[in-house]
Formats: sequence, C-alpha cells, structure tokens
Amino acid sequence: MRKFLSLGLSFSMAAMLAACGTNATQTTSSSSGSEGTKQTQREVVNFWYLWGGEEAKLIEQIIAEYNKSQDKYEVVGTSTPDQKVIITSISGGQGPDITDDFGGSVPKYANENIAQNLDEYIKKDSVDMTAFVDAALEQQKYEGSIYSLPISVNVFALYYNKDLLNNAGITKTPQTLEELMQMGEETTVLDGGALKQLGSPFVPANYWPNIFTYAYGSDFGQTGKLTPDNEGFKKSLEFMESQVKKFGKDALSNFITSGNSNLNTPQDPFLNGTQVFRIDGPWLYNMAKEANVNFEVMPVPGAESVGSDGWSTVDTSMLYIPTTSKHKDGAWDFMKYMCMGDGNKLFCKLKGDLPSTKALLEDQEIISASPAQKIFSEIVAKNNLRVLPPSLNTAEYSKAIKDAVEAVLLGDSVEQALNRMKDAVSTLK
Amino acid sequence: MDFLKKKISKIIFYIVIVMLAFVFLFPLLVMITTSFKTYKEAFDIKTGLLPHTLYFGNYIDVFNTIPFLRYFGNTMWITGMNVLGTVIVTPMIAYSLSKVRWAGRNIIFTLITATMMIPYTAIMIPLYRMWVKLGLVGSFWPLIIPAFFGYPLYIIILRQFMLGIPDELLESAKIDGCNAWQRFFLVALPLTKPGIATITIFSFMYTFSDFLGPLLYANKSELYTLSLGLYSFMNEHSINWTSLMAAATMFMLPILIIFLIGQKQFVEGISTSGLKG
Amino acid sequence: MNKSNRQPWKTNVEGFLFALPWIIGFLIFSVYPIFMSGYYSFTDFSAIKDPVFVGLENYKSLFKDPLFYKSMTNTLIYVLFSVTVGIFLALIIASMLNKKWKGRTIFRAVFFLPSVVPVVASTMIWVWVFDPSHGYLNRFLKLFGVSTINWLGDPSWTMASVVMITLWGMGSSMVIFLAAMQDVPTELYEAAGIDGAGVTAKFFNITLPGIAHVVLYQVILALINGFQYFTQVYIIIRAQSGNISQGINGGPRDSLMMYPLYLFYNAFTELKMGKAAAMSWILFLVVSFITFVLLKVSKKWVTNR
Repeated sequence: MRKFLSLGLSFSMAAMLAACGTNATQTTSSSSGSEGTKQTQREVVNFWYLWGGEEAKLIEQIIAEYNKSQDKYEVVGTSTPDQKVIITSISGGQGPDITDDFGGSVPKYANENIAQNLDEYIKKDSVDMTAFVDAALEQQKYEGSIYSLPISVNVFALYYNKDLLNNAGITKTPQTLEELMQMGEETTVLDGGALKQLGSPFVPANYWPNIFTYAYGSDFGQTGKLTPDNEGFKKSLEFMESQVKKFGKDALSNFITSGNSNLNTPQDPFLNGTQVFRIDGPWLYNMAKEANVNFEVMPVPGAESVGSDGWSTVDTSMLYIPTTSKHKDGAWDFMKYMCMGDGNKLFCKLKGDLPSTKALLEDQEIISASPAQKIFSEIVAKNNLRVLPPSLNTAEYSKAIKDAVEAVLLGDSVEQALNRMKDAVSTLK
Repeated sequence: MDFLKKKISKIIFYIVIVMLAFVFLFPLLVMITTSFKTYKEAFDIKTGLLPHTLYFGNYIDVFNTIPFLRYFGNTMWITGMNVLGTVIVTPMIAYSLSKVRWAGRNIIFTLITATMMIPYTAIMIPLYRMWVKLGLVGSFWPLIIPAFFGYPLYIIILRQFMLGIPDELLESAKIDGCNAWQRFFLVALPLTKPGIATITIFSFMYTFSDFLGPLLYANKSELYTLSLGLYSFMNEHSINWTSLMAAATMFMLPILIIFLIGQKQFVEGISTSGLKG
Repeated sequence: MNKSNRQPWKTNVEGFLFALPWIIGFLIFSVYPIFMSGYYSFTDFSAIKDPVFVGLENYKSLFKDPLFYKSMTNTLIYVLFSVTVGIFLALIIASMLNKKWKGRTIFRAVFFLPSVVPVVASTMIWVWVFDPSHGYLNRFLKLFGVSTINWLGDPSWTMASVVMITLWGMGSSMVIFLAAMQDVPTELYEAAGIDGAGVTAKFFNITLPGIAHVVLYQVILALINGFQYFTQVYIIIRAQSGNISQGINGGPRDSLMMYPLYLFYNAFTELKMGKAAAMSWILFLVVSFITFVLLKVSKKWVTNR
C-alpha cells in the first residue's frame, strides 16, 4: 500500500512535469489568437508599457480608441513598470508583440537583435520620416536603419521661483547662462552650516550638466569620436566646483542628494520653496502648481558667446517591436497609430506629453492645451536640441558624465574628475 | 549591598533589552502607521509616528492599483507548490543519507553540502537559458519544479533530525517484515514531524518573499507575485509611499499570522534541528 | 544491521532510489549550469542570439573594467561587515535571552520577527526610515543634535546603511544560537561561577566554545547569503533613482554596486550574457576558495565536531 503511494507520488511528479509542457503550449496557442477567432476574427496584439498608475489608465483609453477604429487587430495593454522585466521576458521568447522604451536604448536593442529592423515596413508603407522632429528621429537609428518610432519627446526648461527671486531683490530673468549662474550663486542661502536655500539648478542631478554644456555651444562628440573634456562641460564642472568651494562640500552635497532622493515628493526642494532655479521637464509644471509655488518657466538661455536660447537635451519615448513578436504586422499598424496617427494626438492631449511630429507641434489644440505645453513645444520648435552620440556605449558614457559631476560635488577637483572620466571613456566607442 | 547591585544590574539589563526590542520593532511600526496616513501627512515632519486620524484610503488604493488578490493567489500557489515539493522529497533524501547504510551516502552528503555553497547568481544565466529553451519563461514552472528535487539546506536540516532516530526502531520494523518504503513511511516519517514543520516554515518564508525568481520568470503581469506587485507603486516620477506601505502591510500579514501560530513549533523545531551542527 | 550487510546491493539500490530525486536535480540544476556557465563565459551571446565562441574576450574585458573591481570590493566589504557584526549581534542577543527571566519568549519573538518580513517590503520600509529630510532615523537623531545624515545618498554612509538593514534581519541566526546555547551543560556554568568567573569570561570560555560548530555553520550560511546580496540594493537604487532607471546604476558613486547586481545588469540590461557568465565563474571560484579556507582554519578551534 505504502509502496503504491510513493510510486504514485513519483508518477504524479512525472505527470506534473509533463503537464507543464502541455500547459505552456496551450497558453501560447491561446495567446496567438485562437480564442479571438470565434467571435471577431481579430488578431490579438500584446502591448506592454512602462507607464503605471494614473498614466496607465490614459494609455488604456487610447488602446480602446484604437480597437474601435479598426476591426483587424485587438490590442491588449499591460502595465509593466520595469524595463528589465520586459527585457528578460523578451529574452525568454515570451515577451510582448510591441512595447515602449527610451530612445537611448535603441543601439543596444538593435545590436542584440531585441528590436525589429523597421526599414522594410517603412518602405512598404512609404512612410514619410521627415514628419518627425529631427533630433527625435536621430535617436531611433542604428547603423543607418530605423528600429523604433518616437511617440513623444522630453525636453527641458528653466523653472524659477518668483517669490524667492523677489526676496533677493532680483527683478529680471536671466538672459544668459552667465547671468543664471550669477543669480544662482546670489540666491543660495547658507544657515548655520547647512544650506537653507539652493539657487542653482543642481537638483535634479541628471539634466543640468548636459544642458549647460549645450548652452555653452559644446557637445559630447560623435559616435566613434567622443569629447568628454569639451569646453562647455569643463566650464559647467568649474561652476559647480566654485559653488562647492563657496558654500562647503557637505552643505551643498547634503542638500542636493537629499533633494534628488525626494524628487517630486512634498519634500522636493522646488516644491517646498527652497530651490530658486530648476531645470526640469514638463511634468513638474502641474506638481508645482498644486504645491502653490509662485513660479514661471522659460527656455534655458545660452552663454553670452552663443546668444540663442532654448538649449536642451532631448530624450524620446519610443515604441519598438521585439524580434520575438508573434504579430509584427498588427504591432506595426498599432505603432503607426500611436506614433503618427490619431493615437499620437490623443496621447499628447491626454498625457500632456510633447509631440514628436512636426505637424502636431503646430497643432493649436495640442500646444495651447496648457501653458506648459506651449512653452515646451516652443523649445522643441527652436531645435536647439542635442543628444549624446547614439552608440552601444551611451549608457556608460552618460554614467561617466554623472560620475564626474558627482565627484566634483563630493570635493574632487575638476581636473581629477575629468581625468578619471577620460580614462573611463577611453575604452568606449 | 550585593542585593542592591544585583537589582541595579537587572534593571539595566531590562532597559537595554527593551530599547533593543524597540529598535527592532520600530520599522514595522513605521510601516503600519504610515499606511494609515494621507500622502501629505506622511511627508510632514510635524506629524509624529501616529496619524492624526486613521485614513483607510491607502488600502482602497491598493486594490485600485493592483489586482492584489490575484497577486496574492499567485504568490500562494508558488509558495504552496514549493512547500509541497519540499515536504514530499526532502524526507526521502534525508532518510537515504541518515538511515540507509549504502555505498554512496557519504559522497552524496558531501556533494549536497558543496551545492549549498553555490551562489544562485553563479548559475542563474544557464538556468535561465535552459528555461528559455524549454519555453517555460513566463510561467510558474521554473519557480516550482526545482522544489521537487530537494534543496540542500532543507535536506541537511532533516538529515540531522533523522540521525536522532534510533537504528533499533528501524531494525525491529524490518524484522517485523516492513520493507524499505514502509520503514520510511511508518517509522521514520512520523518521528520527523517537528523537522518537517521547520522546513515547511523555512520554505514558506523563503518562497513567499522571493524577488529575483519571479523577476526572471513570472514576468507577465498576470503572473506577478506580491514582491513584484509592490513595484506598481513606484511611478515614473514619484513613489506612492502611503499605498506602498498599505500593500506591504497586507503582504506581511499572512507571514505574520503563520509566524505567530507556528512560533513555538518553529523555534522548538530549530532547537532539535540540524542547523545546530 | 547484519542482515543489511548480507544484501549490500539491495541496500545500495534502496539508498540510491531514496536519494534519486536529489541526484537528478543536482545534475540538472547544479552540474549542468555550472559547466554551461563555464562554456558561456567564453562566448558572446544574449538570450536571443546563440553563443559565438570568443575565447578569453569576456575575461579580458572584465579585468579592464573598473566596475568589476568596484563591485567585487563592495561585496567583500559588505560580506565582511554583515557577517562579523551580524553574527556578533546575534550572539549577544541570544546570550541575553538565554538567561531565565520573565517575558523572554515575547522578546525572542520580537527579535525574530524582522527576519520573516518579505525582503521587498522591508527594504522599502528602510528606504523610508532612512530618508534624509523626513525619515524617522534623522528625526530621532536630531533630538540629540546630530545633523542630517544622508544614509542612502552619501557614499560614505551607504554601506553602513545596508549593513544595518541586514543586521535588523539577524533573527534567524539569533534563534539558532539560542537553541544551541540551551544545550550547553549548565554544570559548566555552575562550576565557573564557583571559580568566580564573570559574565564575559563565561561567555568566552564556556558558551562560545560550546556552540562553536553552530557559529561556524551560521558564518558559512551568512557568507553565502552575503555573496548573493542583490534584492535590497536593486530595490534601493530603483527607489532612489526617482524614475525608471536607465542603464547601469550603482547608487551614489557606485557604492551600492554589489557583485550580483552588476552581474544582473550585464546579463539583462547590457545584454552581455557571456560577460555575465564569466562573472558567475569568478564568483563561484571566490566563494569556493573562501569557504575552503574558512573550513581549514576553523578545524583548529571548532572541536565539537
């Protein structure tokens, strides 16, 4: 009897092992649309996106619109707020049919055969690629081919707290980068060894260094010819070094790191009125309004020698089709809807993102939707946008930039920081 | 004099241990009290540990943000299957290593001990690729099947337990005509109950809170476990702290209940278990 | 006994069959991946692309990679402190609970409780407690005039902070030590008491030698856990970076870049699985070496077994 039982156990184990095999095939076959055939004949396209919470609800709204607009495909959306989950899933052959990411990832995904080359689809439908903003499109390319389409762009602007400027007796806005730095220094307040108020836009840490560099008229080089020690970046670091010397390493770095870890919370320095200048994206606008900050937004001014304004780095949100996608045609159709069709307009309208197509940048319905939208759209239109040279090493390069800024903040000299950065970058392409 | 000295040292002892205990409990108190605060209140440094009024909105928000019950069900399914596998297979292996005098048992025991030293990270990639090839990434199986082949730590614990079973008992069972399986089921197994309880709790705790496993394999939202589900409270530009704390509180609840029920059993289990040597 | 000796083949088959599940599992889930890891480490592949042999390329690029060294050093430092301080703290609390006094079972539960909290939840709680501006730890320290400490943002504090999180979860070692201590014969303490030995002398001369084998066992377990330390830093960095973190992020000045985390980044963000496999093998060798040395050295002072 007992013998029987244990035998039964090993059998049931074997049965389970077998069962998982069949189970898996069942799930794949059902997701490949066999369940849909009965009622609608629609092909199911799985769309996983990084947006979560309230934003996810807006995305679902757009998906519903798409499903209503045609009867060939049925897009099913899933919020998946971690890139690595999506990538591990694609690597496992179980990923989505279409998904989103940031423009900076394109070279890596193209090179590793994660993202589908779109050239043939573009040719087949003779899509006019000049419809996209130049800098945004640039990010979707790798070795001459296009691997993704931009759904929206992120650019950055200068926010300033009017009350704090008035308190310091400053009545005009900075017209040049030099004036901005001057005012930043003047409005920084030290109180008993700790920073009480930060003038300069050092929080958040990741946007201002690149944007200052561009505003100085410099850039970080081309693919294959990187320039980590360009004049603009060096000057930006020197500015930070001067601030570190003036206000003390601990005072400044405590304020900045604390600010960075509290971004967009009620303890965010700009939202609680302890930061005067801030370089940030459009999402801060509504948050600052809700926090009752008396503020204004303007394009980032260029250095005296440069003249023009609206300098910004640009990052795109994009959609790509994984090579493992089982419904590439449906994914492509949905992609066109989301990136250049009605879906794109809806997306920008609902989510308040900046359009990546030139046409929508002139669409009154979009740009006058909110004051923020107007200012940021103008910045996109000014076209003083720069990106890090697209390459497989973009992530390492931008990490090297971040590390150099952090090193200066923590007390290293500009020379030390730049030397270390050059070492780190020397192995990159 | 001596009496007084003793009394004072006793008081100091109590003060120290109560303070220590408070330090250990404090983060959990923070979790629970924050889950009853409004978002604004949670960030307000003027508010103390306790909220002004009990706010239940975060708990409602949890159910609006994630399919909590589904994730809970997924977590329980994986955990239950792991416990099942562990409980079925571990005693057999431990029995073979402690009560059957066969040629390979020392080698196997050494190998098991050595296997325990392999960091999961070191074998993660080939395992991942293996599951990819089997087409099982994106299912629960990679998180369940290994449990049916025995985990070294649990085997070692149970082996130590079984070493304590007198050989004479098994011998006399044999003389009574019990075969190998009967001796295992009728004699050895009932005597190992506290040990099995211990590994049950270990395996429950470990699987219930595992993060890396589900991150690699249960990576479709309908398969998420609670560990992954907590992620949904981290948005692109901010973290929904209060709802996160509410979800974490609910996440902890089952394990807390099991712990409070099984506390005595568990601690006693360890007392006689192989962890001691 | 005699009977089974007469049928060794039957006993052998019996033993083998009982152990069979593990033997199969061992071949599939340990032997195979270890060897494949070795093979993959000489190839270039991502999970989608098939492996292409590249010789020593991965090892070469690792030995040139400053983050490889940084992550290894971080992990070694973390292991050193979390293991020594953790075991020490667990021993102290266990010996406090080993005396007979009222309410000690409740306290035993209190110290054990944190080790059952799911890792993701406990890490998030600590990120919240550690917050520089409104976190309870700084608010508490402020009462004593300590100025703001940026626990998870200042690279000189991050290691201490993550070790603190680990110490908080030392309950399971504590319970095991406690159980072992209760097995140390009380006569030994009584005899020492007559000789006039103090509390510390008793601890070092009787308790510690009496449970040395258990301590060794726990040290090894803690060591292995330390080398696998991943989830906590992964979550801390995700919580701190504010937005969906792109690319490699090792926290402030990479002070939280632990070895398994860097391995994970290489495999699943950078998609350099060959390089990650090379890291796996190096980790395997390092852990084996350290455990081996530890076992050799400990033979001298662990007499009990």
